[in-house]
Parts: sequence; C-alpha cells; structure tokens
Amino acid sequence: MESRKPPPSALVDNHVVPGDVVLDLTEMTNQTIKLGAGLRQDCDTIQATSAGRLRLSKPNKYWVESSQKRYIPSVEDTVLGVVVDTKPDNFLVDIKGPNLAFLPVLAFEGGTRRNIPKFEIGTLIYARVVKANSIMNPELSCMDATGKAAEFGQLKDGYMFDTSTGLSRMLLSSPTCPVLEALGKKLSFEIAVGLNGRVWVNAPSPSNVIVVSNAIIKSESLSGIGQRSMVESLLERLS
Amino acid sequence: MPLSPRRLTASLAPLHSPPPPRQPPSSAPQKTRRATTHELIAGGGNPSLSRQQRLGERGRAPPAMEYVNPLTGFRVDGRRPNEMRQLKGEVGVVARADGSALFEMGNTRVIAAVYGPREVQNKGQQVNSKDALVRCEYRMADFSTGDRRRKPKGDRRSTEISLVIRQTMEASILTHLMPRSQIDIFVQVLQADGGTRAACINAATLALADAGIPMRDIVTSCSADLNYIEDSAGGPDVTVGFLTKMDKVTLLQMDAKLPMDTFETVMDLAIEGCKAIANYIREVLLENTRRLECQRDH
Amino acid sequence: MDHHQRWHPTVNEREFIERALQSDLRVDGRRPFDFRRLKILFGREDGSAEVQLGDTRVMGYATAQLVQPYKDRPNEGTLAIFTEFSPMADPAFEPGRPGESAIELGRVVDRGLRESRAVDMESLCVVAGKHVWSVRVDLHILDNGGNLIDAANIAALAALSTFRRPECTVGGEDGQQVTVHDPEVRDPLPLTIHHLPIAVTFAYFGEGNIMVIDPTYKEEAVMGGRMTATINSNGDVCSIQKAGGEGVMSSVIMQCLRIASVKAADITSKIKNEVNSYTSAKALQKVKRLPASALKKDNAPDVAMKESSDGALETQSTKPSSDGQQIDKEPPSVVEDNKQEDVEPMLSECNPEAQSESRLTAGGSDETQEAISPKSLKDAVKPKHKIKKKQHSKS
Repeated sequence: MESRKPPPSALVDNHVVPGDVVLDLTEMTNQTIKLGAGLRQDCDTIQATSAGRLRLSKPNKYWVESSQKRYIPSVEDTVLGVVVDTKPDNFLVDIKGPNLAFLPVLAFEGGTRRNIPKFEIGTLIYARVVKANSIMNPELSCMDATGKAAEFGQLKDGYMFDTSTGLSRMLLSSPTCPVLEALGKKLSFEIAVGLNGRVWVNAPSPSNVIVVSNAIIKSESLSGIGQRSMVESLLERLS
Repeated sequence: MPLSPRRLTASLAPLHSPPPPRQPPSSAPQKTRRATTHELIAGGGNPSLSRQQRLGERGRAPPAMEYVNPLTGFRVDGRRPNEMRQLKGEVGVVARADGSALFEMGNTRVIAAVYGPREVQNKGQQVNSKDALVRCEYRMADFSTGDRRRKPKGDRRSTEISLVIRQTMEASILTHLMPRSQIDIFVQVLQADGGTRAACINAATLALADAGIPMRDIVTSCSADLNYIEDSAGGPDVTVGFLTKMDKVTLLQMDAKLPMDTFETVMDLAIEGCKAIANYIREVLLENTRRLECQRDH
Repeated sequence: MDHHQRWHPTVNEREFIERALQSDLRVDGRRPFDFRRLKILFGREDGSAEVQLGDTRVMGYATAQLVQPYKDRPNEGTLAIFTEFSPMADPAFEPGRPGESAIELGRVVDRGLRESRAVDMESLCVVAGKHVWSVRVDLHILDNGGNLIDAANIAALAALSTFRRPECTVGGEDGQQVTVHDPEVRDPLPLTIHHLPIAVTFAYFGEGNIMVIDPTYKEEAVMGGRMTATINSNGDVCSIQKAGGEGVMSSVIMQCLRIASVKAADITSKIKNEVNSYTSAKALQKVKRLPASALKKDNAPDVAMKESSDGALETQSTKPSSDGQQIDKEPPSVVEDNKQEDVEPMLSECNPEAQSESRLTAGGSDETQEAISPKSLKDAVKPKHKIKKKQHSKS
C-alpha cells in the first residue's frame, strides 16, 4: 500500500453531484482507499451520492463535504443533544439524526447505579458519538476515550440555536474561523459546537449572547472578509 | 339539593370616562347604577338565540324592538340595561363523571363533566410529561337552538370554542401538579340563548372544582353586549374570562368595530359581570361543601 | 415518534428567552415592539399576494364566483376565508383535515374582516336574491416562522386589495339575465374596501407583565399566552382574540391596543404603498398593449347595448337622471373617500400615458354606467335598504 502511491482523483477539491464518477477502480490495483460520507462503490467505480466538494485526506481517505440541516451520526463526532425521554438504562437524546440516540445512564465519569444524573426533558447535553451504524440507534457517551468527563455533560444556561452541519464544521475548523476570531477580540463568551448542527453560546450578559449567536447565524453564507465586516458593523451598532 | 336561583347585577361604569375605582366585589351585587346617555347590556342579553343565528341577523332589518326601550329603560326581557340574567349553578349532576355541573344564565343552559386526572389515553397527544394534558370537547345539542338541524360534529365554530375553553381552563388549572395525566372536560349546551361560551366556562369551573382538580384561581366568564351608537348594526359582543383573585383577564373575544375607549367600557362591564359570577360560584361551592359535611356528620 | 412533530425548546432556550426579555432583549435582536421585516409580493394575476414576515411566508389568493345569496341577506355578497396548513411548512401540521390552529387562524382573520365590514358586501350584489359575488380568500401557509395570524391577515388584505372581479351587467326581458364580461373587453372592478383591519399579535411571558409583538416560532413555544388585536388605522378595534392562556391585567390589554393601533397604521400604509405600486405597474403594462385593447374597447359598449337594449330603454325612459345619481351614491360616503384615496393616487402617480389610459377607462365606465342601468333591480333594492338604515339610526 505504501509502495505505490495511488493517483488522486482528478476531482479532488472540486464540486461533485450525485452520480459523478470520482475514481475508476479498473486503473487501480492492490490499493486501499477509504470512503467517507457521500461516496459509494458501484462495480469498478466510486461514485458521489450527494452534492458537495470532494475532499482527500492523504494518502487515501475520500469524502464529500456538504452542508445539511440533518445530521448522519458518525463515530467520534462531538454533538449537542436534547434529552427527549428517560428510560431505566438510557436517556433518549435527539441529535437531529434519523434516529434518537441512546445515552446510557452510566456513561458518565465515575457513573454507577447510585449516582445517575437527573435530566429533565429538554436538557441540553454535549456528548460524543461512540456507536453509529444503520441498524442500531446511535450511542453517545459523556466521557472521553480515557473515561474522563472532559467538557462533556449537561450545558447549563446560555442559548442554543440550530445551524447547518457545514457551518458547525466551519466553526470548529482551525485556524479559528473569521467570525469567531472577530467576535473573540471584542467580547468574551463560551461556545460549544456540535457537529450535528447545533451551537450553544453563553456569556454573562444576555445581549452578548444575542450578538454572538446572530453573528454566527448570519455568517452561514459569508466569506471570511464578509464575516469580519459583518461582525464589525454588528458590534458598532451595539456600542 | 339544588340551590335557589338568585338575581345578580353588575356595577356599571359611565361611558367615555375613566373607569371609577372598583367597588369591592362583595358590594357589587347589591348596587345598581343606571347609565343615562348610553345603554350597556351585561350578560349576553341579546334576545336572539345562538351566536350563529345572531350573526345571521346582522345586516338584515334591525329587530322590530329596540334593545332598550327608551321610555321605560327596560330591555325586551324586562331587565335593566346593566342587570345580569338569573344565574343558577348546580354541581354533581352527572353521576358517572368525576366532577360535573349545570350552569344557567337566563335561558342559556350548559352542562359540564370532568374526567380526570387519569392516565393519558393517547400518548401522541401528550405535549410534555411535566404538565397534565387538558382536553376539552364542546358540543351544542341539536335541540339547543330554534332550528333543529343536525350540526356536524367538529365544525369550525365548535372546534374553536373547544380550544378557547381548554386554554382558558388551563390558565387556572395547576397542570404541573398532575404530570403525565389527562383531564377531560366535556361541555354540552342544552339550551342556547346568547353567551354560551361564557356559560360553558362557568360550568367548567364548577365541574373542575367538583372534581377536586387543583386550581390557582376561580376563572369565570361573562359577555357584555352593547347598543350605544344608534346605527351600529347588531350587538357587538365582548366575552371576558377572568381570574378573580389575580385580577387578570385570560379570555377576551370581541368582534365588530368599536372605538377604543368604548371597548374599554364594555370590557370593564364584562369584568364586573365576571366578578359577580365569581361571587355566585363561590357561594355554590361553599354551599356544596357544607352539604357534604352535613352528610358526613349524619 | 411524536416528539418530531412539534418543536420543543430546550431548557436553555426557554430560560434564556425569558431572561433576555426581562431586559427587553429578544433573541433575534429585535426590541419588544418591533415587527420582523415585512415583504409583500404580488403574483402575475390580480388577487394573489405573498407575504413574508421574517421567516414566515403566507400566500393569499382571492377569487370570486356568482352564487345565490343567503336567504337572510339577499342583497349582499359573501366573503369566506379558507386556510391550508400544509405539513410542508411545519411538521407539526397534520396532513388532511385542518387542525385547531388552522381553524382558529381562519376564524380570527375572517372575523376581523367580516364583522368590521371591511369589504363592502352590498356592492357585490348583482341581482338581489338571485346573483351575488361570493369572494373566497385562500390562505396557504408556506413556511411557519411564527405569528401566522398577522402574516395571513396581511396576505388576505393584500390579495383582496388587488383583486378584480369581472364586470357584469343585467339584462334580458325580465331584467334578471346576467352577462359577465370578459376582462379583456371591460376592465374588471376592484372591491370596495372601507378600511384595512390589521391583526397585531402580542405574546405574553412571565406573569403576563412582559409582552412582545410578532412572536417567532421559538417565542411562541415559550410564551404563556397570546392576544391578537385587529385594529384599523383609525384606531377602531375590529376584533380581539385572546383564547385563554396567561392572565393579563385589563390595563395591560388597553396598553396593547394602543400599541397595536400605532402598528396598524404603519402596516396599513405599507400595504397601501405596495398595492399602489403594483396597480400602477399593472396600468403601465396595459398602456403598452393599449392599441389592441383600445380597439376592442370601442366595440365593447355596442355589444353590451345589444344585449341589454330592451331593459336599458325601459329604465332610461322612466327615471334616467335619478338612476345615475343613485349609482354614484351607491357606496356610503366613507367608501367614496376611501375609493378616491385608493384609486386616484395610483393613477396620478404613474406617467401621462397611464393617465390617458385611465381617462379612457373612465370614459368607458361612463358608457357602461348607462348600459348598466337595467341594474335597476338592484337599485330598487337599494333605497329600501337605505331606509332601513335610517330607521335604525333614529332609534
């Protein structure tokens, strides 16, 4: 696999639409490629199944980057979930996916039967997807891989709003995206971004929360420069 | 033992002037003041039948009689303009129901039955598990109006009234004390003679109290009719649902065009009516409690 | 899974929305008494309008057909509101029969328009007891971003303001035959709208002492109660709907009504401006294809005369002058003012070409008035009604 480098698809970083042939496997032998979201194998070809931009992570990971309102769970994603029901063993959590996710009542740091947290319906939870496949409900955990609580758990106060999955990915990208950078220079606030298209913002004064959340919602369709000037004009109006 | 009907009146504010300081509710039923320049009518005193029929009348030739006779100052049914119709309330009229009541305002007769709190029947309707689910069904008996036409169940009007009654009762029921349960209110109009929705709410309040549903306040309702500008066709009517102790309006429905200050006067009149009804309902409930105590003692 | 049906706020949203409101802040950056951005668009056909109020989108569509009047109102047309809540606009809307909120919305809009007699119903009468125009407004909710009632009400008003019904004349030997004219031949007629009843919705929070207008769907999910006041620009209260919910002091209600009357004036002028620019644009379009239509117009009166020549002669011989006056007087005086307001500015605003067009049509309508004179049946009904009204006003 390492000996022969596979030639990357010609479409990398370009837009693809469903049905586009991304790779022709007949020309590639003895190579391993990994397919991510939005791609499928059809006989000897790899085809796109959703519209977006084709991405390649060297050496061999391909996926289609797109932005949706719905979320398809994927292991190791951090998500913001809303508790919709409590069962003896699990909290049922809405993560904007096709199914409700299960959050085992013991999936908390040091969780035992004696210290099960009490979450009322509508509680907002920052969690990690640990199991995701199409036949079972996805499973969440409020611990990192080492069993520590890290930042996971219930989010109190603040304000939550919905975004597209693309926007939440942009907010998590590094270097810090322009809108958060510009806001961070003037205001202090806490933010939690779920890859499932939910953002939670908290700040001491409600007006700051409102400014930050509106700036983020508006940045959906703006370029980096546009985001900066939008934030500036928003802050000017505030002061 | 049914209670004897009582005559009640509402105090009245003169038109086009700020409402006078409210009289304490206890003194309201005794005092009666006459409006000299304009006539206001409390208690849905339109001599027409159902609201629907009244709507039908509007724009037709005005009724042969005036609402208020200019010579005698009495209305067609012999009441003074601001005099409320006879009230009659009786609880425990439906044996199978957890709570029930019959309420009469003049010729309008309404029966209400309450079932609950009980297990939620249709989980899909449960909005959240923190509060009780309140449901209401309003029915108008086919024989309740002059024309004995079979009315389809769930027409637009009764669906809206069901919604209005449910939300009005929800304002007083402490739903958070009965989570994951359901309370059903059935209201049936036996005889319609104006002000049915007000009578329904009063009956529902009595029935809920009879069922022992925890409530934060007594909610009563009264409608006021107004006939002041000579050329205003039909009687504009204002229905108010009122939380007595909290002094707050929960239900307010009005149609027909009115200047704002006139509207305020009519609303205040209806509120006075609500207070008087609340006093009456209070007495009915106290009487009922006393009677139950008597029964226990023997 | 029913939890997908209706949107539920998280604990955080619920608490934050209420906390922010305590310092007069709303999550979308508005102040308590700001409406969201209102946009009124008109379709290609008369009588269709789309209203955007923030994220809320409602389409209004007015149509009319000739029907038999109700027995108790033989000389009045009818107006009916129909609502369509498609699950497309909100997953909480059930497909199939209309739900509670659809019925409530329809009835609130309907009452605001009808009980305040906003649309003149008597001018929709063609032959008393036989033929009247039945106007139907369909309100389609396209997107539920909250406060559907206000948006739907504006959509209904905008649709009715641009609606044109075909002109029709009465003729035949019995004077009861109705001829409906092709809109190409005779300009269709606008409705007589006396005033615009504007719905302004308040949402109450806390103990009923915090209020905002034009709530979003998030605010609606958190609010304790709601009140819709329908008020026109003169400050007349046309209808109020507060269907239970959190109790409010009567003084707060009066405060709401005063705020609503200010908002109603704003929205009224917005609707009028949009309608005027639409009608003048429409008039301009007509001017461009004037040559063809002008030719047709010249022929039109002849055709009409032939159809109704018998009746026309009859009535003209009996009382030609008084008849003409009555037609002028037909709508009550208030209406006339309104009509002038509505129609004239829009014509004078557009360029001279359009004015010449307007004169042309005005001339045409003079001719048609003569031709309509067999309408006498309707006129015969009119005075009676007026007498009734006078009687009533004495009482």
